[in-house]
Amino acid sequence: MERDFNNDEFEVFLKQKADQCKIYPSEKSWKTVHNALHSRWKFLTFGGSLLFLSGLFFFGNHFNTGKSSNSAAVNKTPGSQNNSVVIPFTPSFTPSNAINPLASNQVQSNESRGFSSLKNPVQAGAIARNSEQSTVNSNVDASARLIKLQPSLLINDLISERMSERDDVAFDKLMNEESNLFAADKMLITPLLEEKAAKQGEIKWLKEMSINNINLKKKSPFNLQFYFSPSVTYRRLADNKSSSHSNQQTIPLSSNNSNIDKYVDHKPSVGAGIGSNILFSASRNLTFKTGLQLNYSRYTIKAYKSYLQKASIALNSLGPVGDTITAYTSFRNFSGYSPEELQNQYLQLSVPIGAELKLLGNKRLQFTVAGTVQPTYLLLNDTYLLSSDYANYAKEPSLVRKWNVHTSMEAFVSYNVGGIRWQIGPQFRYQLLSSYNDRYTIREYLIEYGFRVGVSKTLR
Amino acid sequence: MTEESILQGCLRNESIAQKELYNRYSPKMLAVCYRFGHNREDAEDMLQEGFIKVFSQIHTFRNQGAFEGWIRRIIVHTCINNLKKNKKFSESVDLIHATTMQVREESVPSIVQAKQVVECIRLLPLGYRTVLNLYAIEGYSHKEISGMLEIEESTSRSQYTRAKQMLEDILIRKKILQKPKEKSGFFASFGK
Repeated sequence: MERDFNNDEFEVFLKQKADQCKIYPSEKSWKTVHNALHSRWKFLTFGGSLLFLSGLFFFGNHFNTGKSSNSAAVNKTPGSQNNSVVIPFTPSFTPSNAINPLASNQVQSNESRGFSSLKNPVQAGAIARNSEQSTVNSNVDASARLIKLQPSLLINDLISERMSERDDVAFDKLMNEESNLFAADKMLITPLLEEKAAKQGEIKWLKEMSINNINLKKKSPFNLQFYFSPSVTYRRLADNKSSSHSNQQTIPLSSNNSNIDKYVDHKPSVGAGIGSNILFSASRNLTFKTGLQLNYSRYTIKAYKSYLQKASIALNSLGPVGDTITAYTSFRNFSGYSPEELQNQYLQLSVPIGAELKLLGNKRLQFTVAGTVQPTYLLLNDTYLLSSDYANYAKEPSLVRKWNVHTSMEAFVSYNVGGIRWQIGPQFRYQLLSSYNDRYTIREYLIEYGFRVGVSKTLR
Repeated sequence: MTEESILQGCLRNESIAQKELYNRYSPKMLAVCYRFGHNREDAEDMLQEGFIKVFSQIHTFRNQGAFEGWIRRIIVHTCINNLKKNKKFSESVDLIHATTMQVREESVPSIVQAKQVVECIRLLPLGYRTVLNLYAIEGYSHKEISGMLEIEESTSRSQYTRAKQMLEDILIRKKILQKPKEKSGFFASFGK
């Protein structure tokens, strides 16, 4: 070293002085750290609770639907009384239970008369077994055999009873007893058989109806939605001088002027959005949705045509020297030889992810609120940027942000007709990040107010 | 609260312990960030990011060294990572650019004591300042610095030599230090 400084001493000196230095951070700084550490848990708790509640709703509904699908097996038939049901019965053949055809026909006749008044599932099961065995031996179409039962008697109960060994014993005993009785009353059998044959047509029809009803599918929780939303777009401008090195500091008009809106004359223009969503009904009132949306947004800027001149756009810079982009333009903000209307236009593709909450209504007419977060990609744009001295408008595509995030809120009235839901209502869409990237010293946020007209249909 | 109880509380993700730890170490760590950062806002951003890492990685602390040293290493690495995101930083640690950099005399502020020294360090060009901070104050070797900044070890040495020269000039110009020929002791003029 030319100054003959002691290296170690110098470093010790520096370290000592640097370590003595303390700077107290702002309270906001701790809040940021704290929020970053604990918001995740809040979110998880909230999200978990939401999921849990949605799950409860879903399974609650599913359980109820399950019950009703079971009861679909015991559907009411047109010809039956309100409290009677029809159950299709599949026969099985057990050789040991083969009995006298004549007797079995009688059994069947008795059974068809007697089952309508059965109320005890165990009894029903025993006689059902009786019935199927008899059917095999009497050459009656077994698949057409139907049993009238009380609504409270479920198929599962019947099957479990059929499978019971104890009932088998009871069944055999009953069969033997009844066979003896029926043999003695041979003269009574013929009219009963005729009656049975006469009812055959009705039985077949009942069977078909019953099977059709059993095969009824549960309504899908998924819906497909299409919508169109005309809107008007406003913009809000704000200062983005994030660095002390920004060249904009040296420009008189722009310095210390955070209200940029005062220096520009812009007015909203009509744009539109179109999209499609898949809706998932988590419960009666809550529906989640996601899809694709195409948005065309624009607004008009009042400017003046002028001779070609240089426009400087100052950039935020982290380094010691600020950067500037120079562009040539013939549009001025304040004065020129003729008024001109410029249009800033954006075509965006977004993926709305959100939920709908039904607040009021019945099956047909409903009032719902909805919200989405929309990661957005800018497909095309035609944008004039304000120069640093606010004097000119120039195009500089490199300063336009490609990825953005929007939020959307809407409230709508929907009406169900013919399995299709029509909806209409106001919507509000807000751009969370500036249209321009962080290097540009002005931030722009687009705000859209519009109406959404949509139609959705259940996916089968 | 003792350091052990703070550590245990932080391991249980308790806000009180976290705030205590933050209050205890953030002033020193903000000074570290301030030496590396472009301005106070930058420094606070780095501090926040660093402390979020500290709290989320606290289970990896093995009690094999000082807790403060462990926090400091995380903070320094956070600062370096932040600086590396800036294109201009990689240019500024380049040796060719370093030779042409000058400090404007009029920009040296009037300051006192430790803060005075820190402000003088901050007057150095970014590349110089970073290497000097890492080598002279944080105690990293040139080999480690070359790895951290992704530069040659020789570049780190040269940067440090030039940074030191420049800082000495600044300190002497600001009369914080005196030339050794004029005084018997280099640090004689500086009140410790």
